[in-house]
Amino acid sequence: MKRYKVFCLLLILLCWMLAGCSPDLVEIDEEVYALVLGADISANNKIKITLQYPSYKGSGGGGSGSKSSGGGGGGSREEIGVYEGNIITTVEASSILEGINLLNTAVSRQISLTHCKLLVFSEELAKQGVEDYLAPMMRYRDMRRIMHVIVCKGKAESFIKENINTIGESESKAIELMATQSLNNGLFPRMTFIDFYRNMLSPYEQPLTAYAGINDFSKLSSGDEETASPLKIPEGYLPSEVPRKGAARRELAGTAIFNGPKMIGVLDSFETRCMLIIKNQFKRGIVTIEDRKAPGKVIPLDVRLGRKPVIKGYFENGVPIIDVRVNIEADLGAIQSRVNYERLSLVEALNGQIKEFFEAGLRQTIDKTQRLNCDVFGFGEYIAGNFSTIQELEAYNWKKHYKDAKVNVTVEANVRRTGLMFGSKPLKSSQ
Amino acid sequence: MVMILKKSKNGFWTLLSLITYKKKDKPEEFYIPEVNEGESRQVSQEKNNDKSTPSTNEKQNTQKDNKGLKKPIPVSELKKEKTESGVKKDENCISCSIDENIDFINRMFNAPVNKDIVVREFNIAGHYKAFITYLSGMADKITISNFILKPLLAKKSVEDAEEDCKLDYILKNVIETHQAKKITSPNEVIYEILNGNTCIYADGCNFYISAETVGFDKRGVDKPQTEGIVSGSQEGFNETLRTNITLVRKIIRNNNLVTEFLTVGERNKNLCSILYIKGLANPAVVQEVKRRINGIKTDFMLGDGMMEQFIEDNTFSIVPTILSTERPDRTASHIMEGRVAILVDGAPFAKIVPVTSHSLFHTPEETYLRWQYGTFIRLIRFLAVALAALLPGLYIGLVGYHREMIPTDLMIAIVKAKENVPFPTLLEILLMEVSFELIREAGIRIPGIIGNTIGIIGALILGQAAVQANIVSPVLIIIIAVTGLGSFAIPNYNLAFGVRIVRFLFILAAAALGYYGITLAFIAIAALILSMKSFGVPFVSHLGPQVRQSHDAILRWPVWKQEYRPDPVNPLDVRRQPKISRKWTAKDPKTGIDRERNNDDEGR
Repeated sequence: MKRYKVFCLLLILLCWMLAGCSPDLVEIDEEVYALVLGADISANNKIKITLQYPSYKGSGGGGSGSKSSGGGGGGSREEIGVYEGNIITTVEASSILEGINLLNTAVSRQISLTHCKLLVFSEELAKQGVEDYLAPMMRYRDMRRIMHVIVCKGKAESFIKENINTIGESESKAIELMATQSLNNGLFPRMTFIDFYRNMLSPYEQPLTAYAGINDFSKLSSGDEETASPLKIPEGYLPSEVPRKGAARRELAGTAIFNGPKMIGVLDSFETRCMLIIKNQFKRGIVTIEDRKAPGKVIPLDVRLGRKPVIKGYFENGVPIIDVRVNIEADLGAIQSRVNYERLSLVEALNGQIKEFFEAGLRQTIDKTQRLNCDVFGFGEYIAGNFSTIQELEAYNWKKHYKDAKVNVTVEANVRRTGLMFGSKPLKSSQ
Repeated sequence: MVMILKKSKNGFWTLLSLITYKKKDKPEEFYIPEVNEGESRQVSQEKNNDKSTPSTNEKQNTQKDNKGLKKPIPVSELKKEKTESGVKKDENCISCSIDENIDFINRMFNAPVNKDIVVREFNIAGHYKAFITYLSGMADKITISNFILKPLLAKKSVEDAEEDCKLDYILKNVIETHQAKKITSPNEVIYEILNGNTCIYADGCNFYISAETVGFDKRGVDKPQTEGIVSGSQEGFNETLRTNITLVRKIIRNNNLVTEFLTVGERNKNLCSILYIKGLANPAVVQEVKRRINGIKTDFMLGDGMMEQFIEDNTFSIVPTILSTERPDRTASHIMEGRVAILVDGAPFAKIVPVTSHSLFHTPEETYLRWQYGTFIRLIRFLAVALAALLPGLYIGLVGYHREMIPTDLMIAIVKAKENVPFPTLLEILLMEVSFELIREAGIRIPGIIGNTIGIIGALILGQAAVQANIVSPVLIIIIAVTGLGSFAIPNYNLAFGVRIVRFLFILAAAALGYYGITLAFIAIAALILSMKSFGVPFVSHLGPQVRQSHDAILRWPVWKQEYRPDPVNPLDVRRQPKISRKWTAKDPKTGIDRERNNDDEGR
């Protein structure tokens, strides 16, 4: 028994010794943690890598410190890439990993990608294909696989430069919460690195990323235009086109869709919502529809999925058929016209209108992807059930045949909640 | 100078003596001689005496032999000589002569050098020579004078006696103490006197009478010092064995509660008692406890802590395998589960055997509380052990190896806080851990009045200053503080010690190999604990092979569900209560009012 115990102890000690006494321990402050990694195309088949990392100055949480950047004069600080407690550096190299190494000629701490939150590809690079950059990153141990992937209009470098946090001090929190806004509005998708890569390998789903850009605040109408023009809905936006002013210039809107490793098109923010509905990733969002009883007036609806969309895929005469049944629930946000849509007789009409609205939107989105032959919805998963082996499925190549598929969409819409009011009385004035 | 030159005959030497160093004549310093050295010293002294007054050649010869051989006398022989001269002569029987007996007592207690022993000679009823003897301070003088001396000295008390030995008559008729018995062995006489009893001897008898007169100063029953609880009994043991047994007996009013006395320690003859319920505790356990205690051969036994170390199974284990408690109620509840309690005179603690690991996490608190609350505080304690043992190690592993697991914001905050700290994390942790242990130790040892403030000084000032001086990062202070809280929340003092030591092992393991190292260290410790036994019971038998659930091991179930006694102890009576212990739930309340019918009547 005693010998047995000693043997066990020796075994455990051996585990230690065999692991080597090498000082694998790295002090936490010996590394600097890149938060954003951007990739641009450069000359001579090289790649331009832009990194954003915290400067470790100031007292607050992550990436803070308006105090720290002050004093030295904004202009000269920006030359060396110091923006509000963050440092942005760009380097040109033949691979991303080497580029990071090369940066350490000037950056005093080992750059670690274990906390990278955001991977930005420029549109140009995405259109050329991202496979050359993704594959090695997938293999690399340091890479954080749950970072978000986006494609930006223009250069990734300039996008990252505009990635200035306006609320709070923590840059990493800002990035994470920015991506989370997809859950509140559905105007752009969330896509993690690992899912993006997996979809590229997948035989039945195409990858997609959020689509980003820089807004120069020029789309906002000045107010001088004709005001009597008819109401225009639905509204779909692409990045850098959102009519707004203020806050950060960078914005996310719409989806970049890929065919394998190459970006082939975009969906605007409304189409993105429709896509997310089918993918069951649409949590909620406000949709405005026109009030049919009072033209020119609108009804904002808080829309969510009533239940998971029911999708069936089968073959008929060799043609793949996809049946999509979507159940949508809407809460009344407001009724400008004060028509009592809560009444049973009227609510049915409203339900019908919502149904038509979404059926048209879903139809439009599906048609667009079929034109691009890009199944971002993952319909292939339902088609796959018709093949007995994966080899047969791969031989059939769903991604190629998506454009031939017949997709039937039915929407069931119900207004479930009326908000805090049940019925509205006409407003009384002296006239 | 001139004076000296003039005065002295040899001026030069005097002058020289003034400027040179003279070795002082120092008296020899005291030192404790070795046993044999002392012997030889004596021998040489005696030799000198012999030289001055030469008496016998024999003695000289033997001394010469001794010197020539330089043979140390073995300790056992020394002892033999002593006993030969002392007890052996009348080891088995008591002399019938009063002078010999007085001589015997004086010799055994080293009187008159030893001032504690009192030998009071008197004449019983004015006729018979007798004496009483007791240890001053251990015996109660009022009892002696009122209930022993007074009746004995009364003239008429013994005169009518017809028996041969007056003591028999005295024992039956005169002595007025509660307990009094005949003692026939000299060793027993000594033992009785040592215990504080008074021994009475009358000329012509070959035995003593021992009358119970124990009365020494002792601490009263107080609140338990280390096992305080909010709800429930607030009584704790004190240093007197008798009181302690009474405290337990007060809770278990059962005629089968047996108290057995054993004596341990050859020189101090400490009294030790074993408490168990006959017919409930497994006789094998009782047997084993007695076997182990009787098997201790040591000259000094100070309380239960020493006893534990002498009888425990694994002396090298990091966790205790014997439960120590200073609460009579806890002792009683363990006895009622079929365990054996060991109480040693002179220490306010009871040792309970055999125990399993979960007992170390229990307090009587949850027994008094409703089961929901009891379960909750128990879970908190398990968490406390985990935190106290692992947290610093986990922190080291986290920041040293597994940084991807830290939320980014927290990590950047940690880095910023550590930016100006020049030490590696391991050193920071060790620094703070060691100072925390210092605070803890100092807090116990420091005199009472300032003892309370040391915690504040230690925690606030030291921590705050260390952070401000950039010696440690502030996150670390939190880690250490939580770890400290965890170790304070461990209810068993001995277990808390074990956890505090193991913590350092985990810190080093994490520094060497990250979480992999922690895993290895955990496996090693778990393997050791799993292989341990406490008086034949596997230490973690509640987790090990499936046993009958007592429903009071890790979680505490409702009290009516605790139908069985713990299985590993193998008590003779397995059931604590029948399946339906709340009989009233199965019966209608007989209030005398048939409410339903009344209602019906009203309805009609």
